Amino acid sequence: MRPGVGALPLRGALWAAFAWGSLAALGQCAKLFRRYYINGEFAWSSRDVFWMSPLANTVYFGLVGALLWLAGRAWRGKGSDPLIGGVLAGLCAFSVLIPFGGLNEYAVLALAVGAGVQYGRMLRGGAPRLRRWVQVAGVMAAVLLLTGGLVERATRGYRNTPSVNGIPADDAPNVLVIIWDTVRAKNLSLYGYPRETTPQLTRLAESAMTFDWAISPSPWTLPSHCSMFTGLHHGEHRCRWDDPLGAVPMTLAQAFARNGYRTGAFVANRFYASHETGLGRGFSVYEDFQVTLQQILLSSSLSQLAIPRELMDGVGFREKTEALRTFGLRGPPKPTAHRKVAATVTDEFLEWEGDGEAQPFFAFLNYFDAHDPYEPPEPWRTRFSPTPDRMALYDGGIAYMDAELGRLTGELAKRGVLDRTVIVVTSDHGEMFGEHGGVLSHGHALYLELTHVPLVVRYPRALPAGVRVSRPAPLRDLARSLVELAGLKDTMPGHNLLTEAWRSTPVPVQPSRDRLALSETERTKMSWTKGPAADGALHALLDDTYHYILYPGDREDLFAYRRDAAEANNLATTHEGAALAAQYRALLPLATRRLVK
Amino acid sequence: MYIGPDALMPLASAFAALAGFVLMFWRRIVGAVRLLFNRGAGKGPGPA
Repeated sequence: MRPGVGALPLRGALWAAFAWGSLAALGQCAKLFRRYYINGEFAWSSRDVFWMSPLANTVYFGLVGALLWLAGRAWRGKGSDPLIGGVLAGLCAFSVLIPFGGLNEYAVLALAVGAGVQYGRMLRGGAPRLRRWVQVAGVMAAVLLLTGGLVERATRGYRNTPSVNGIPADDAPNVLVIIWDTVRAKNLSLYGYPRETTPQLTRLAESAMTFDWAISPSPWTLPSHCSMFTGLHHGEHRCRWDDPLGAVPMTLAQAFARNGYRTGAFVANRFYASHETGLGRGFSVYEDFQVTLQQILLSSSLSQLAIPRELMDGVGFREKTEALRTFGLRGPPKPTAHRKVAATVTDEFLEWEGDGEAQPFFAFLNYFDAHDPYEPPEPWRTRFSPTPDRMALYDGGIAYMDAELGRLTGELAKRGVLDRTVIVVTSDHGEMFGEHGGVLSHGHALYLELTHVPLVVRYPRALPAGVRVSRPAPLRDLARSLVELAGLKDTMPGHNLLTEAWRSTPVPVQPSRDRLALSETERTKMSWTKGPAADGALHALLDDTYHYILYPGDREDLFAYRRDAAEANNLATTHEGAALAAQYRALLPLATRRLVK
Repeated sequence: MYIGPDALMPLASAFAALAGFVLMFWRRIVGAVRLLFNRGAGKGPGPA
C-alpha cells in the first residue's frame, strides 16, 4: 500500500456508502424502467421507486459502511479505505445483479465479492481519482433518480387522465365502486351465512338492490377487475398472470373522466390491482403503494435478501436475532409485508373526497383484508372464535371490511353526499377452503365458491330499495350499468343490470346466450395450490338453473346449483345431464369472442 | 441447437461464480500463469 493511502474518516465512509448506494439504485431502476415502461411487463414495484431506492440504499449501505469503519477503528485504530470501498463496491454489484432472477445467489455473491476485492486492490494501489469518480458518479445517479422520481410523481395523474369532452349534469351522481377482494357470497350474513359477518352491508341493502347470484368473470383478481372496468370478457381483454391490461377501447374510469368526473382509486391489493396492471387508466389519482418508511426500505433490491425482510417482519428480539442467520433470497420484493388495511383505504378516500369541489366523482376502492394471509386486526381476529381457524380469520377479515363500510357510509351521510352517490359493493372473486376434494385459495377453478360473489347497488334517487334480484348477474355488465345510470354519453359493452326490463325478462325454456354468465380462467401459474386449471384453461356458464363447467380434456361438470349449493352432484355423468351439458357446451363459443388458451 | 433459459441461467450462474473467483484471486492466477509460461519457455521462475 502506498504511503498516505488507506485511512478513511467516517465522513468519507458515509460518502462512499451514499455514492455506491446511489449507483446500485440506478442499476436497479434501469432494469425496472426497461421492464415496465419499455416492455410493458410487471415490475412489482411502486412508482416511487425512483426516489425511494436511493434513500433505501443510503440506509443499507450507510449501515454497512459505518459498521466497517467502527470495526476498522476498533481493530487498527482507523477506518480502512480499501476495505470499506471494496465491500461497498461488492455490495453495489450484488444489489445490481440480484434483480436478474434466475442467477444463483451464491454465484452472484462470488462475482460481487470478486468485484469488491479488485476495487479494494485498486484503492490500496493508490488511485486518488478513483474514489472521486465514484463519488461524482454517485451524486449524479442520485440527482437523476430523485429528479426522475419527482417528475414521475408530478405528472402521473396528468398522464392517466383523458381529455374532457363533456360536462356532468347538475344532478349527476357520484359513483363509488367498493370491491372486497377475495370475498365469496356464501360467507356473508346478507346471503344467509350463520355468522354475523356483514351487519353494515345488510343495513345498506335495505335501501339498495341486492343481486343474489352475481357471478365474477374470473376466479382471480386482475382479469375480474379488468372485466368489471371494461365490460369485456376475460378472453377479450386478455389480462394474464404476466400481462397487464392491453389496448382496450375504454375503461370505466376513462368514460367518467371524459365526461368531466373527478376520478380516484384507493387500492390495497398491490399484487394484481396496482398501477402496473393498467387498471389506473382514467384515474387522476391512483393510490396503491404507500409512502412509508417500510415501503422505502422495501424499495431497494437488497430487500430481496431474507435478512432485511426477516428483520422488518420479526416481532421480538429472538426473531430478529434468528433473522441475522438467514441467507438467501426471498424473491423480488413483492408488496406482501405491511398490508394496507381497510381503515387506511377508507381514510385515503375520505381525504380525497373531502378535497373535491362540486365536481362529481368516480371512485374505486379495493379492500384486501379477506385475502390470504388472513390477518384481520383485533377485535375482528377473535370475533368469531377465541382460537380462530382459517375460516374464522377469513370471516373476521370480512367483518372488518364491513365495519369500515359502516364508517364510510356514515361519514358520507354526515357530509350530505350519501344519497347522491351510487354505491356498489361487490367482490372480484371468492376463495376455496378445501371444498371439492381439498382445493384451496383461488385462481384455478370455477366452482361457485370462487365465482359467486356479493353485489349490492344503492342509489335511492333512481333505484328501488330492498329489492333482491334472483336472475344471475354477470359482473362484467357492471360497467355498462353504471355508465347508463350516471347518464354518460359514452357506452360500454354488455347489458344494464339495473333496469326493470332486465330484471323481469322471463326465464327461457332452453339455455340461452342472453341469460348466461360466463367465467373463465387460463392455465394457472400458481404452483403452491392445486386446482383444475393446473392442466389448462377452464370455462363456465351459469344461468337461472344450471352451472356448467368445461375442463381441459373435455371433462364436464353440470350442477343444479340452486338446489345443490355445494355442487356435489354432477349431473353431466347422467344420460340426461350429458345431453343438457352438450347444449351449454355448444353455447360457449357464442359467449366469448376468443376462448382463453 | 436451441439453448433455453433453463439451461442458460445455470450456465450464466456458473460463469458468474467463475468470474468472481478469478477476480478474487487475480494476482495468484496471473502469477501462476506467468510461472507456467516461464517454465514452459525454459526460463527461470522470474523475479520474486
